[in-house]
Amino acid sequence: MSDASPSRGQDLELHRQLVEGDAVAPSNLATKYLKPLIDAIRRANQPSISDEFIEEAVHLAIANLCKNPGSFDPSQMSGERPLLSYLKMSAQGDLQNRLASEQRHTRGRVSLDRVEQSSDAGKYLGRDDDPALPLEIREEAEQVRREILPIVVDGLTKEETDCLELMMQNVRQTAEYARALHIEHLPKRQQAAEVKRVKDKLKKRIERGSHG
Amino acid sequence: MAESLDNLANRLESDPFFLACPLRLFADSMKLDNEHLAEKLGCSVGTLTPVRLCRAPAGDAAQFQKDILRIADEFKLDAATLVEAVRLGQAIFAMRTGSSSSALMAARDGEKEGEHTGGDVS
Repeated sequence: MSDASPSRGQDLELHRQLVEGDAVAPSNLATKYLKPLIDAIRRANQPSISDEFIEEAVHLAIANLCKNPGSFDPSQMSGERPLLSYLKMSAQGDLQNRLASEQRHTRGRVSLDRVEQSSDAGKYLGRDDDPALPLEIREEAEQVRREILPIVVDGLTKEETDCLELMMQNVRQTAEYARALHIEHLPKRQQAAEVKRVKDKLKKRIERGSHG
Repeated sequence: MAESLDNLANRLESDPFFLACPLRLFADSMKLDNEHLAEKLGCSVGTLTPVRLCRAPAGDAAQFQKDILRIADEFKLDAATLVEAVRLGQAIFAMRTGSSSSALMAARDGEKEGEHTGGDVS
């Protein structure tokens, strides 16, 4: 049985400490795996991806495992370093989400920049990346971002903030929200319920924010 | 490596799950930089980083005390100062976010309990 290997045994012991709520376990996990994880994710991705994104994804993966150690199931992970393998998968997923989100932002910015630079920028747009969206609506959306967003975001977790970002980008797929909430391991029905709960919470906050 | 860990601890300063959060709020309220915070806790700046990466003590008074002793013992910290720092930092966090009056009550009750029992860390 591979459980007999010393390194696997150490990983399982570390996981046990996290599950039992040992206050020092998160520190032990980070000290042991932060550097190897950053190195592994850097190696697995294009050199053009910024160190900042890689660090952010790794930090998120470690923090999430510390807060939700049940998301790691030792029986599902073989190998010498099951925790490291799990963290790699988690960090890679977080990195992909971050890159996708960045890409959506960039597209939005490019689109808005084009609008601002357009010589015949009237009340409504001509055809652009998003031809159906008039400038007026975009301006309103920007105003919402500037004025209401800080109120809405205050006190939200990172995961909830990511969901808010998805809502603002009009993303509808439950799977995207489940990924942002790191609940992909849950059964689909539970994922849907949790996503609905978070979206309802965010909608209420937006309503409150927009009514001052 | 030390820098990477420090970056992680810095990022976690906004997350109340981790000790970095109450310690930062405590240090800010006392106008302490990391060097002085480490000195107050009785450790080196190098040790302060893994300390900040621990889970923040939480739960009822008994669990809180157990967490404090576990961390203090592991990193050879002054437990009484750690209690003071965590309690104050967590109370500041609760006040700022307005998220949990129970956290404030827990901080208050913890202090009361310490007074009544003469406990060394709570």
